Amino acid sequence: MDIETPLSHPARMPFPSTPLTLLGRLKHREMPRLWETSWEEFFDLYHNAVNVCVMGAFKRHDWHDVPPPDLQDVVLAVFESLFRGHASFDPAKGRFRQFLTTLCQRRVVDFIRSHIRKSSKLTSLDSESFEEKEIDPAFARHSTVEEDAFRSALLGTLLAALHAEVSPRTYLIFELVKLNGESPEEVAAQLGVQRTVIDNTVFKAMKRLREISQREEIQQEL
Amino acid sequence: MNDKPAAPSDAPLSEEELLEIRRAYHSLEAFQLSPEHRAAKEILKARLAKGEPKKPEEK
Repeated sequence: MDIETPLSHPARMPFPSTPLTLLGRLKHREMPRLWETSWEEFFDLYHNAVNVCVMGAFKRHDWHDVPPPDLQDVVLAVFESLFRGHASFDPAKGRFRQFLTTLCQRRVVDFIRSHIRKSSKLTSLDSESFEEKEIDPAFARHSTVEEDAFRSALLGTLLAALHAEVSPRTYLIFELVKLNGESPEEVAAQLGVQRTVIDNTVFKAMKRLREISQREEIQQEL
Repeated sequence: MNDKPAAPSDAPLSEEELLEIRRAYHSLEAFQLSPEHRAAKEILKARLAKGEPKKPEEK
């Protein structure tokens, strides 16, 4: 039995719907509220992954110890490109993580180029070798850290889809028992329902997660 | 989750798969609660509110 009663307390971690859905919503700039909610949700999921990816791209250009404010500036430029619709993802052209990695690399290259132009101290950077790195196929490979960060974002996406597809109460029970490790007995007492309700709800949520994880858009990314 | 044959879609998620999702959940949650993330979000909000930057369109 799935319970649909109102929440007794809010879910602890707000999760968005799937990235593809979110990316679609980001196109609706004529609907400011929807657009704002969408970019915030997307940013919550992918900020860490983009952060790691931008750091990796700097390192591949032998730019180590980039000051945190500059790093943040580039990271935010990646999101601005995406949220303003300057870069749009086409699933037919490849995986989302590759698209996002390419976008990170472009913004890093923009930053380095603009820095070279501005600073006479950096004119020693050989622009030819810089271009070579940009087109080297090995350059696009992800490091383990980047893979982990993208995988975390994607697994968060699975939960996002679950959150969007089941009742708030079902998600809350799943979250309390399976993500936060509370005992089914405690949760049953807390919500004033029988233990079997908790067990059945958790089982259904786990089944739904399996279904979601087998969807093409998720499998392609995993 | 990607090294094994796909489980039937009517089977619930395995404990091993759930463990990986749980780790990701806690790691994302910790990051989202960090002052760095919150500050960056505010800066981004301000930037987006300012209107279009000079950046040319992506190809």
